[in-house]
Amino acid sequence: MAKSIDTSAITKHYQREFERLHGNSNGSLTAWRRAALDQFSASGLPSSKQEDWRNLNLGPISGEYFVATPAPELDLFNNLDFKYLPRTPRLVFVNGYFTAELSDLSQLSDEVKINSLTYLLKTDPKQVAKAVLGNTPESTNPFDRLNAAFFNSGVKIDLPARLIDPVTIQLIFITRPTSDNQVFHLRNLINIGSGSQLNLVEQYIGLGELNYFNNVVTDVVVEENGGFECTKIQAETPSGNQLSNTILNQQTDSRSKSLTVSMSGKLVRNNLLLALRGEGAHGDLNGLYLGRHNNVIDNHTLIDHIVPNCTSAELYKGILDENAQAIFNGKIIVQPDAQKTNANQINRNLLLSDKARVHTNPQLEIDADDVKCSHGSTTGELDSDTLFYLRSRGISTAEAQALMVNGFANEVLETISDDATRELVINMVSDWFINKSEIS
Amino acid sequence: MIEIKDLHVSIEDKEILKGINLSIKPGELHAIMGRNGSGKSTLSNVISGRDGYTITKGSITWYGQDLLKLSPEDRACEGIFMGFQYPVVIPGVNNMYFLKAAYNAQRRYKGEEELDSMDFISLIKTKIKEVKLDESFLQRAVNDGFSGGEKKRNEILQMITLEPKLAILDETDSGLDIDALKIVAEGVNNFRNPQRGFLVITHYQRILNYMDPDRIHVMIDGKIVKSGGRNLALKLEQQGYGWLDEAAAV
Ligand SMILES: Nc1ncnc2c1ncn2[C@@H]1O[C@H](COP(=O)(O)OP(=O)(O)OP(=O)(O)O)[C@@H](O)[C@H]1O
Ligand SMILES: [Mg+2]
Repeated sequence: MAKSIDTSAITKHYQREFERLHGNSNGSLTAWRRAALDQFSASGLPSSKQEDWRNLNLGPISGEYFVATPAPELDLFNNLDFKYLPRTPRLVFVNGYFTAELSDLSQLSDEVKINSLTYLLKTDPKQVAKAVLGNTPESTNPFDRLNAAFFNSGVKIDLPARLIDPVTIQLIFITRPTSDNQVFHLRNLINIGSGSQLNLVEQYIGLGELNYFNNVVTDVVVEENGGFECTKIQAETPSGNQLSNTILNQQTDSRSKSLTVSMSGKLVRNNLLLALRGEGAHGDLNGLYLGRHNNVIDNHTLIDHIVPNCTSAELYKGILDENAQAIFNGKIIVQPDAQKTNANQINRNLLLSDKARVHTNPQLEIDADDVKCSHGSTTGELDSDTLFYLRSRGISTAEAQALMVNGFANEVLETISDDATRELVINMVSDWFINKSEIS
Repeated sequence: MIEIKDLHVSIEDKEILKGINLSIKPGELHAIMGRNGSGKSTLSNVISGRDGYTITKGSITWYGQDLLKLSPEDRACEGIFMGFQYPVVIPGVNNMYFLKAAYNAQRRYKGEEELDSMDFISLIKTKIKEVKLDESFLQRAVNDGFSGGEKKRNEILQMITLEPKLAILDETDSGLDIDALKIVAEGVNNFRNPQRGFLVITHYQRILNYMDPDRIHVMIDGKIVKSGGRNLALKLEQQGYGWLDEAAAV
C-alpha cells in the first residue's frame, strides 16, 4: 500500500517551492526560513524507524508532492454552509487565507490585538520575525521546520496583561482544496499577558474529496497568573491530512486546559508539548480521538515539568471503528529541579470493530525524588453487561451503543468549561456516531 | 400471562436449569427462594432475553406467543421488566436521559407519542418521590457512585416509570437497610394491581412479610422442588433447605 519514499526527490521539490515563493526575498525572516529549510533538507522526512514516528505510516503525506497555493478565489468561500453555528467573535480562514466576509470581530475588546499572519507578513514582517525568532525553540521535527520555511497564514493574538474579563475567540480553518495535493502551512502565535484569560475554540473543517495536507504550528505563551483554555476540533475529510505541532509554555501560577478532539482524517498527527516553566503552574491536557474508515490518528504528547510545584493531569480517550488506527504516546518528563511535581495520565480506548487498532505507550522519565506520578491505560470493547442492561429497558441495540459511546466520550467532553463550546462539541461527536449508522 | 414449561438451560454445555415449570397469572405475586447458585438469576436472565444461554428444551410463552423469539428490547416493550441483582454502572450516561430514552423507546414501540423533556421531567419527579431518592440522582450518571441501596431504589424507580406487566425482582431486597426495605416493599405494593404479575427472588422471608405472596417456590439445583404458601417461607427461614435435598435428588 505505501509507496516507496524517495526522500531526496521530496526535499528537492520543497527547495524548488521555496525558490518559487521566497527566492527573491531577504531579511531576517527569510534567512530564518532558509535555515529551517536547510535543516529539513538535511533530515528529510521522518521514517517509521525513528522512535518518535514508530507505528505511523507517513505514506499519505510523503508519497505525493504537496504544493502551496495562492489565495483562493472569492467564490470558493461563498455558499459555505455551516452546520455548526459559528460564534462571535470569530476569524474564518479558507484554504489558509483570512476571509473578512465570514469573520466577525465586532464584539472583540479593543484591547486584544489580533491579526492574520498573511496581513502581518505583508505589512510588518519584522513583527512576525520577532515573534517567531524569540519564541520558537530549536525544533527537531521536520514538519515544524517545513512550516517555518513556508508558513504564510494563521493568526497572531496578543492579550494584554490584567484584562478583567476572559476573552473568547473562535478560529475556523476551512480547507476546501481546488486541486489534489495542496498543502497549507498555518502558524498561530498566541501570547496571554499576565493575569488575563483566553478561551480559544480552534476548529478545522475539511470539505470535498481532494487530497490535502494541513501543516499547523501553534505557539502559546501563558504569562504569570494567566489562563488559557483551548478546544481544538479537527474534522478533516477522509482524504485530508493534518500535522499539528503545538507548544504551550506556562509561566508562574498560570493555568491551562486544552482539549484536542480529532475526528476523521486520513492521517492526523498531533505533537503537543506542555512546558511548565514557572512554579505553581497547572496544565490539563485532554483528548478525544474518533476514527473510522482507514483513519489514522496519532497523538504524541509531552509534558515537561521543568520547575518545582507544578501539576498536570492528562486524559486521552479514543473510539475506533472499522479499520481505524490510533497511536497514543504520552511522555512525562520530571526534571531534576521539579520537586513536588504531581502528574497523572490516563489513556482509555474503545474498539468498536475487531479490525480497529490502537498502540498506546506511556513514558515516564522522572529525575526528581519527591514527586507523585501515575499513569494507566485500558483498551476494550463495549461492555456486554451494560448493553444488555440498556436493552432490557426497551432501548434498541443501535441506540444503546450510541448512548454508551457518547457516555464514554462524555468524561472528556464534560471538562469543557464553556456551555456553548461544550454543546458544539457534544453535537459534533453525536453526529459523528450517527453518520456511521447511515453509512453501514 | 407467562407460562414456563419444562425449561432446560445450559451455559457452555453445563446444564443450569433442569426442567422449570412456572406459570404466573395477572395479579399474582410469586416468590422464588433457593440457595446460592441454584439458578434463580439464570431464570430471570433467560426470561429477559440475555444471550449466552442455550435453551436445550422447553418453552416460555407470553400471552400465548413464543417469548424466546423476541429480542430483549422487544420483551421490555411487551411489558417484561427485570430489576437486576447487580445493577450496572454506566459512567457518562445521565440517569434522567437514560430513563427518558427507555420510556420513549417503549412508547414508540406501542405506537404512542413520545414525551418531550418538560413532560418527562414532571413525570419522573413524581415517581422519584415514591422511592424517596433525592432529585439529584437524576442528574448523575446511571448508578455511578450510588450506594447498594440507592442502586436498588433506582431499579424500583425504573419499574414504576416503565410500568411493566410483569416485574421480576432479582434480590432487590438484598443489602437494604430496614427503611429502604420498607420503601421498596411499598413501591411494589402500591404498584400491584389485578393486571400485573410479579416474580420476586429473595433469600429472606422478611420482605415477603410486607408483600403477601400468592405462591412461594423453592429452587434447588435448577429445579423447582417445592411450591407452597406463606408458611413455606417461614419454614425455610427456620429449617434451611436441607430437608428438601431429597426431593431435589429425585
Ligand atoms: N456465565 C456463566 N458461566 C458459567 N457458569 C455460570 C454463568 N452464569 C451462571 N453460571 C453458573 O450457573 C449457576 C447458577 O447461577 P445463578 O446466578 O443463576 O444462581 P442464583 O440462584 O441466582 O444464585 P445467587 O443466590 O447467589 O444469586 C451457578 O453455578 C453459576 O456459577
Ligand atoms: Mg442470583
